[in-house]
Amino acid sequence: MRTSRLTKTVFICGMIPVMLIVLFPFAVMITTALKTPAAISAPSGPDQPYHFIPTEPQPSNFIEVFRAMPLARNFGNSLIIALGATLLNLLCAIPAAYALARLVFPGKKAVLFLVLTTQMFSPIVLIIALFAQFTNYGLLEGGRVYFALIIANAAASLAFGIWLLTGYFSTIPQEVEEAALIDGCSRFQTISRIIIPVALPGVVTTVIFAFISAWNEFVFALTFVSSDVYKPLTVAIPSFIGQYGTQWQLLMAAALLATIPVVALFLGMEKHLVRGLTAGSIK
Amino acid sequence: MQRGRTTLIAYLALAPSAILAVGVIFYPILRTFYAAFCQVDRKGNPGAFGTLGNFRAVLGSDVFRQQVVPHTILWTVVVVGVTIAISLFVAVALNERLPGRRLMRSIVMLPWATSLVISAAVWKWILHPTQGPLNRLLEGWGFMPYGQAPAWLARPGMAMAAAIAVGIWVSIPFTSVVLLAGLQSIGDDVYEAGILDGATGWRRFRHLTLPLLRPVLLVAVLLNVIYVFNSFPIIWTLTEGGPANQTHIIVTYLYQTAISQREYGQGYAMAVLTFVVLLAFSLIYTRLHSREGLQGE
Repeated sequence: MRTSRLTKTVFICGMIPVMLIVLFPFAVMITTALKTPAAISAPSGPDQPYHFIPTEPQPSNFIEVFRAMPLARNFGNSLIIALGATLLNLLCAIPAAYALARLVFPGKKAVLFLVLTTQMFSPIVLIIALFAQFTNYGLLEGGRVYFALIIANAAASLAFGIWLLTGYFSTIPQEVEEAALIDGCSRFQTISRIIIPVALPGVVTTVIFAFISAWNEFVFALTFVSSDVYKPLTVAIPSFIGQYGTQWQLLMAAALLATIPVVALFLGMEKHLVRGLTAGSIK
Repeated sequence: MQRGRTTLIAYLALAPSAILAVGVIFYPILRTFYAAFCQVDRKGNPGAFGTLGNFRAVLGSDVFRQQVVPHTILWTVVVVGVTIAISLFVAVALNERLPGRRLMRSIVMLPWATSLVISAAVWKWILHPTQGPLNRLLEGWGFMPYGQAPAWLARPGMAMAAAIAVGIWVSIPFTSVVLLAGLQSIGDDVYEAGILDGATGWRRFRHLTLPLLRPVLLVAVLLNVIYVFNSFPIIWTLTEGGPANQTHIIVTYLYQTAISQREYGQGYAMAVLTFVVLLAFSLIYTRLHSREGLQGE
């Protein structure tokens, strides 16, 4: 497609401010995380200019933050919840997607419809009933809160997993599977040795999506977790604002550390994710 | 002979998902609808059925009618409208062969990968009245006298404007990506035909791109309305609905009423209202859209 030079110039001139605004908070995170407490609190004035970029960068903030805040604990909690939710999502989504892609059975359309309807209920609509139920079952006491968060997060990303994997599984030729079944493989072996390896990109995308969703989740964690011991990063970091209100350099260091792993995962799977998300919304 | 066995295997394979979805989604939603019409105890459990008291309490509240509802509408309309406009530009630009296109695409996606709460926490720092980078830069560049820059999140009108700005910032990535995918599904041959007809620049966008993109655009608007209406973390982290309830939208007010103040009955009623409003909107919207499509043919 050919575009005139003028049109291109207009696009570039328009994209520059968009890029700057998108990047600004990330630049703030990095530069603030490297500042000294004095540089943050010193008032600026006509004869005391403000330096956006730190004049004496202090990388030791990234070590200090683990001493000043229970950040290692929060990282561990986020990891337990996100890994648990991802694993549970796969355990549920893989067999379900297999049935939907490969097997003929009554009620299949209804199941596909129900999978989609789960996406209509936002966590905020469910949260009160879930909170009351989980309290009744004692699921919010002590370490059991991990379990409560794992099942809630796995359910939230379940539809995406089923939808995406059903798409991938359907593209595998039926003959490949039939050959394996004739060779004496059980259904389970067929799934684990043939279907999953062939659909690996789909499985990886589901894993990363489920992991990131759970890692970034807020409403369930905010509501279910009452003790500091079990707080994941998303609940802990905003709560630090009140507690360590003056130490913004440490807060931004914590925010940056919590963000880097997911951004890296996200950019790594950008293409697959776009394909998965848009497959559901377009057509 | 195989049919019964296949059906059994299929149901067994679906069982784990069904248990999870029923336990965490379908049962709680039914219970929410039931409890909204019950007297609810201080632990959130429904008691006697058959009352409209919860709905009366919500709809009779001045805060809800005069602040929460108008702010929810303002929030949803402005965030979705501006997001769609900017994202449309971004998507069309990224669809061109511009220098640095791949890099720009990755940059646009960054806010999507970042947790909403962490984005909001960073913006809260940016908007900090005395030490925040925004006011410091505005003062340093001479836009504001030193010490006179506003406390963005403490002033009623400004707090809502700031929340809306952050809402737009986090919504652009997803919307741009959906629209870009839509643009990429329009074949180059359509454009080549357009070029032969002499359609260039704005005219090509107006008469070729926009009509072809229309179905995707309509989906993007619908999804955005649902996401933005339901969006909780940004406002909760920035202001918790304050100052003086000026930034509450329905979902933050629901959360404060139910979880913080333990008025669970009213919370259930608001959850039902939220769901019904969005469902009605989606149905009317898709109905209008499909009728329009029929007229066009």
